[in-house]
Amino acid sequence: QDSNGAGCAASEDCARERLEVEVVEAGAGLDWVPIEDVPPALRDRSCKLCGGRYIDPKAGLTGAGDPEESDIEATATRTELRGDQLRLEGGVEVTQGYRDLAGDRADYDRVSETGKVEGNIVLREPGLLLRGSRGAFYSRTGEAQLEDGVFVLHEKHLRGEAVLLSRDAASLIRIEDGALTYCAPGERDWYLRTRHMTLDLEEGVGVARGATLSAAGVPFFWTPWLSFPLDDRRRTGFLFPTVGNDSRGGIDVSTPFYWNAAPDYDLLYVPRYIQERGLNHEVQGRYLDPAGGNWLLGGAFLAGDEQYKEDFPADPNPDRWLGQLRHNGLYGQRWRSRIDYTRVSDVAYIRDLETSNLETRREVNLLQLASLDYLGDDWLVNMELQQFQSLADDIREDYKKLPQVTVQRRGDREPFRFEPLFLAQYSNFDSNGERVTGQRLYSEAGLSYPMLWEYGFLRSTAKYRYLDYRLNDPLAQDRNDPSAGSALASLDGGLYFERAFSVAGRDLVQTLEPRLYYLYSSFEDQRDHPDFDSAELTFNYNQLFRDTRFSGRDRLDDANQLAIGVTTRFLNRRTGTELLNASLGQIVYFDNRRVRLRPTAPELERTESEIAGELNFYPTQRLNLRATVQYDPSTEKVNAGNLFSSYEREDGALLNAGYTYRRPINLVGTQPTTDQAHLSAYYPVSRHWRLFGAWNYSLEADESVEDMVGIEYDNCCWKIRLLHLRYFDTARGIVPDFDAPNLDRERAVQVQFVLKGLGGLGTEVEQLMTDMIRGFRP
Amino acid sequence: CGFHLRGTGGGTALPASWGAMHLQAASPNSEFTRVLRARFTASGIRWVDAGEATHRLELGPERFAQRNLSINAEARAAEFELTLRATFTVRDDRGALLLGPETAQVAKQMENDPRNVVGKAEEIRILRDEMRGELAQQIIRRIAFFAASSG
Repeated sequence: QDSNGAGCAASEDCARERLEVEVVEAGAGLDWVPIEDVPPALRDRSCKLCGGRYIDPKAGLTGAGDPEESDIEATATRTELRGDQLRLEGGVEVTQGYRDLAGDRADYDRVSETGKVEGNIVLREPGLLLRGSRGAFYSRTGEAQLEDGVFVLHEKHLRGEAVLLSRDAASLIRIEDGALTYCAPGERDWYLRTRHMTLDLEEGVGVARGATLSAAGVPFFWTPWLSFPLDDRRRTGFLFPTVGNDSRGGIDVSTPFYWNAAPDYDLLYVPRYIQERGLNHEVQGRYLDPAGGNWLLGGAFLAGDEQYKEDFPADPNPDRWLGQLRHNGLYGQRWRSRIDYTRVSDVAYIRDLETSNLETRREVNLLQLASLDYLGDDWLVNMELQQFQSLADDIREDYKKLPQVTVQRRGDREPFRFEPLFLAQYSNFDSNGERVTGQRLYSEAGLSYPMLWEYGFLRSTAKYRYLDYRLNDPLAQDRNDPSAGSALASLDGGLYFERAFSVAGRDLVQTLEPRLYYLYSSFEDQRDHPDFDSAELTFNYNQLFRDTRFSGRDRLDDANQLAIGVTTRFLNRRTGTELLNASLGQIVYFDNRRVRLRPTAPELERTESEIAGELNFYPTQRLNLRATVQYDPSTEKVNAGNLFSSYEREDGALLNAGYTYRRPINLVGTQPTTDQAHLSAYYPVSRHWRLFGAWNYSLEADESVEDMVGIEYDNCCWKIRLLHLRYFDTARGIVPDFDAPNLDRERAVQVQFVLKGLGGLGTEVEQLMTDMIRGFRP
Repeated sequence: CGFHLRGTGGGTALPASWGAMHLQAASPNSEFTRVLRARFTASGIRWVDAGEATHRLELGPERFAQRNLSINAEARAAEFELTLRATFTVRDDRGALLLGPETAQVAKQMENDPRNVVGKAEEIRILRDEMRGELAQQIIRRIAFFAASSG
């Protein structure tokens, strides 16, 4: 092939051919260092995948100044000065500040400050390398032009070439008739050829016009205009589209458009086509309040959902929508505000249309909350409005707090000083349903005396709690305004023992921390109290040392009990980090507990609680194991147990295994037993291939609750992931259980495809993997 | 078996040379910062201005996360896993880095009742408060051990 012949130098065909040859062969002279020669600290994931990396010889060279303000220094084997014309020949090297230029021959005009260079030109700046055969430069502004050039952006891992390569005074790199790729030198998995392209290093954005994308040398995509990021900054443009397929909605494509309107506000618009439903429009605006708050306002609308009409023929309005307002603020370090409000058109909205986030789909309620806190030195004041929108047909909406105001004295538990305790809370509970509503006033006041030594602590507390209601009961004939009071006293003490020892070359400290907690609280009949916001607290090790069995404020529990617990820790003697901690404890009851959440529930007569244990084990940074157990000595049964372990390897391999068992003994109502195993993994099988999956398996039903498998191919310059997900949907029909023959098991397939350095599609895959594989970071 | 009461044979409290510290917190009046400050005060630390401090402690905001640990037969969350973490950095009186940035983390799990969201939200509030105390304890222990081993 006579591709170097002078006859074709100007023709486009010839230029193309030469370019592709360059893409394949370039490597030498591109600052590419094979992995064997890369310092170990720089061998990151990308370096391992690519078998090397670009190393900028000028990286880290500070000291060298701004070229515009620096003198030019030039060396060559032969120099010749004729008037203002300077001719340099042989090994020419010109340095100006942080900019270097080298070539075989150069002519420089001192009046116009322009030069011409020929032969093996190398132009360097930190992070940038340009090479070419012929070129011109203007030293005052740094403008330069190279013919038949190649370039490398070290940090961005990009290289390319151009028939004409120029760098203008504003550091914009212009590429005429060129190509660009992220692939390692010698590889041509993909490259982008364009007629014109600009790389703006300061703004961090590249724009190509008339661009053709080729894979393995075969063009497969053409676009008149393409913008791609050169760094992580947010900027206006189309974001990665997502493409998926779900057994309920069919093909699902969205193409988000992001508008970076100003540094303090931006807008995201996502048109989304769902085959079985129609076109969904989603808008989200964010605003960063300079005084210290951030705001998010979002909404979505889908007119006349076809699938919804089929699923819920009784609903006259098949339009689906969502409205959302989120806010977090902190003003002058004293006022803290929060709004979290989401409202949807119907109970099935989240399950139908939130396809990337399984956690959200499991929600049975949408929170609608606004709160304002005052963080004073001695007082904490909290005002909040809270309600929930139910997302399940079988669950009635919870009570609304409209509003709740809490005033609390903040103490610092300063040792050997009496500390006053005070809390008052006013709540107004409302409900959409036909049930008891009303106002509640809760207050407590008392004193506490903490004592603290290096070897232990003793804290005595006495307080009085008082509860008063004004109720509206639509069913009751007589007005009933119950109230109750209870005196509480507690004594909490513990000792710290320790010993130093070494095991397996590790210097450790083991502590032994016994703790006793005596609690007395007087009984008052509260069977006529409503239950607005209370629940029985989960029994675990923490519960041993709490002064109530209930969450919320509707019950003043009665107690006469002693909790005994012991904790041991194994600590690294040098850093204090925990290698292991384990706790075990039990409550001994001296009286029956008569206060119950349900008025009809019988009093609790047992004289001993379950034994609660907890274990956290971190043998290495990469492995951890956590377990809890609640063992009932009277029935000799484990009532609840839980074991979870995670392992993370240096090459990115992740393995999680867990098991959960819980018998519903504490809860009112019918709560199913949980007996479930979890396995999830992300595992590299070779340098380029990874397998991943997650599995939640119900042992009681002998069925998979949800499972996901996927495969990933990842090489130096592109990546693809395929994911298959099966899950249950609770919304369909009656409360589903695993034995129901017609239970719907939904399926979804998601694809992610990324051309590194350029962009890709399918970020939902990463969201699902993050949800289902603990520890996974995209 | 070698156990002895702490403080009677090489303790883990902060040495006297660490007596005056300066706290630079992302949110100085938040619940977590208050707990941490109180625990240090209880172990004999005085909080002072940056100029007078022997050591400076930089405390990041508390990061709270909640995820489903297991799902019940109705495909609803049966148990939650709660994690609370914070980063901290210790510098000397001239601002030179001594320790960190380190991350401390506490994880807990709790039973969920999808039919009592308000009550369970209250329980999360209680647990989060207890976790703040444990997290503060972990940070003070790590700093005390570091102080003891670095002299």
